[in-house]
Amino acid sequence: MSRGYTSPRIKNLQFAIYLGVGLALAILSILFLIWSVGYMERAYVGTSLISALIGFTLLSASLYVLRLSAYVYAVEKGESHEK
Amino acid sequence: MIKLLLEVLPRVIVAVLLFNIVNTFTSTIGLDVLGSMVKAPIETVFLMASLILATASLVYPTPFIYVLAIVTYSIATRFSVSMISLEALLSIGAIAVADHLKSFYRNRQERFVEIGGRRTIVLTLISVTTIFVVLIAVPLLANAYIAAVLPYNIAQKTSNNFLREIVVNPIFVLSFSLAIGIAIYRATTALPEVIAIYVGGSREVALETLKNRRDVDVYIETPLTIVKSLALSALFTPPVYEVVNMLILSSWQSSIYAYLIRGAVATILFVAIGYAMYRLEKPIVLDPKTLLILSTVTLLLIYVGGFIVSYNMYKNVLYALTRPAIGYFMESISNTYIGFYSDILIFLDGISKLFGVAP
Repeated sequence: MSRGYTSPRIKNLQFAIYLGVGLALAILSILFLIWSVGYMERAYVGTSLISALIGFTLLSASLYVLRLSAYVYAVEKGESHEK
Repeated sequence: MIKLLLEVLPRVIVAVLLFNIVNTFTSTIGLDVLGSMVKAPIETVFLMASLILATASLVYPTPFIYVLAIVTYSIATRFSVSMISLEALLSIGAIAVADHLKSFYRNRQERFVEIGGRRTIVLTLISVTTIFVVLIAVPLLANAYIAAVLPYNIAQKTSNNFLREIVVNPIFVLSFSLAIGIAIYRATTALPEVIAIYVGGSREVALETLKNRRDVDVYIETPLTIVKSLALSALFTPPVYEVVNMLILSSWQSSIYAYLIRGAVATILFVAIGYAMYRLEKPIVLDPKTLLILSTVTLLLIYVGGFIVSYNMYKNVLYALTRPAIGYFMESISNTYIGFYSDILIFLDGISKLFGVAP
């Protein structure tokens, strides 16, 4: 990758890697947020708050990776406006 | 004609809110403003603020002032008259739409509008529905989540008294709700941006954004350096203090001046290390390799400490390697910290009592 050459098979699907990572992080974050509600119902206050914190951190990470995947997709398949 | 409608409709909606506020005002406070200020100061102040804001938004029906009026009114009635409801959200949406249309509407503009075919109508309906669904669903989702997580009903079940005091505290509830609200807002604003770039992205702009290094290599100059150096010194001084205790002061442990000397040494060490941290702040901060090395070294030290304690107990190397007694090790470390803080607090408390500062 440091030589600036990516194989043709991967080249068109690079955005899919970022998309997959972003979606996986989003699913994990929703899991943690739902577990936080469950913990609070059973009176585990500290566990609930820290899993809510983990859920929101993962949410912001997943949004950043999804934004990156959108930019990579636009670079590969976007319309070129220069003439 | 439509200009008239765009002026009248927001004011009608604000008039409904004003009617509710005046109703609540006359039923709770009446004319006895000063008496209710004594009995329930927060509610009275917020109710009067909401009255002023609602009158202001009658004159200038911008979404911002209207939202402020709704928020202050809800706080004033302690959410019992639930304006955080469907009608509030729809009214905010209607006022926002009217305010937006007013800014570029020209007279008789609607006569030049040509509606082109079925596809345009379907797309328009889909976009308007999406906007209003998101407008309603996101606050309701945030509200449901906060209501589910916040431990209103749990407070009686918690056996830990200190935790219960923190959790029932309104400031904690407010800051927690605010944090979750801001997080959900950031999530919902980032998602349409992602979708927009997917649908209509231009190649050059994306390449430019990806190659932009200025957003990544940001050095943040934090203003509270002294507080940070004090916090770092509070973290790093106890081990140093323990070492100094073991080496130098062990001969004076049982003397009558033991508390004074230990406390004085503890305070001097705290200030000295705080000053060292203040000077050393720049090279330590924000270097990922340094952070990685420091965290790995700390984990290794904990493991080695557990291994040594376990070896002392069981005298078997292989057994000690696989079962490091981290519990005992951490207990002795926490005893170090507790000892340091108790010494420093006894010293400061005694000195202040000696000089008559604290009663």
